[in-house]
Amino acid sequence: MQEYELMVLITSTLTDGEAEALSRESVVAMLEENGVQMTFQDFWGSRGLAYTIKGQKWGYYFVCRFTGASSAALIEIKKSLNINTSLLRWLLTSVEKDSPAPVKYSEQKKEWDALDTDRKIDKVLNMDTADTSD
Amino acid sequence: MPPKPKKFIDPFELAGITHIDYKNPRLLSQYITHYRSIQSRFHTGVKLKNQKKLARAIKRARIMGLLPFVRYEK
Repeated sequence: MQEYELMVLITSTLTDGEAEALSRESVVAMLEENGVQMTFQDFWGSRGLAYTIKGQKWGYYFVCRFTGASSAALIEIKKSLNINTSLLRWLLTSVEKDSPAPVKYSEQKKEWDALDTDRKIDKVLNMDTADTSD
Repeated sequence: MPPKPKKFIDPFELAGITHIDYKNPRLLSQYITHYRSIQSRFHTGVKLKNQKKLARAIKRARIMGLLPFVRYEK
């Protein structure tokens, strides 16, 4: 069965709790009303945007995956996503068959932070060696 | 005879990445230029099959505000 992935960008005018509640109650509830089975849900939290969207510099991200959506249901889902005014952007993609299992953003971020600290440590170590050589 | 062109190794084949995800701006940002356009595979050595996946992922990330379209905003 075809699996779909939905990414949603929520406005920064809401608070952290409100945005999470909106993704759970409004987006997921709307999907389930259209008769789909949720397989994965992940609220990223706030994140800075690469460029301003409607004058906003940051927003909340929410990613979810679902299966069992009929073509009529997909049309309804897109319609209600367009109507929702608290969403800046949304992206509905089909998941490829060979793609790996989804990873939570919090875990992914830990990996990136670890890489960053490694790089910083390397920089400091290289600086030390440069100092000693002089 | 002119020298043979240097052969590049596909970084995705080397790392064993088969699926390029649009939710990973850290990886994708390595394949955009100083002016934030998609880097040509002439310079990066990415195979055509992976370049198509990469371009699609970068375009999706741009739409969602994970990657910039241009370097300077008005």
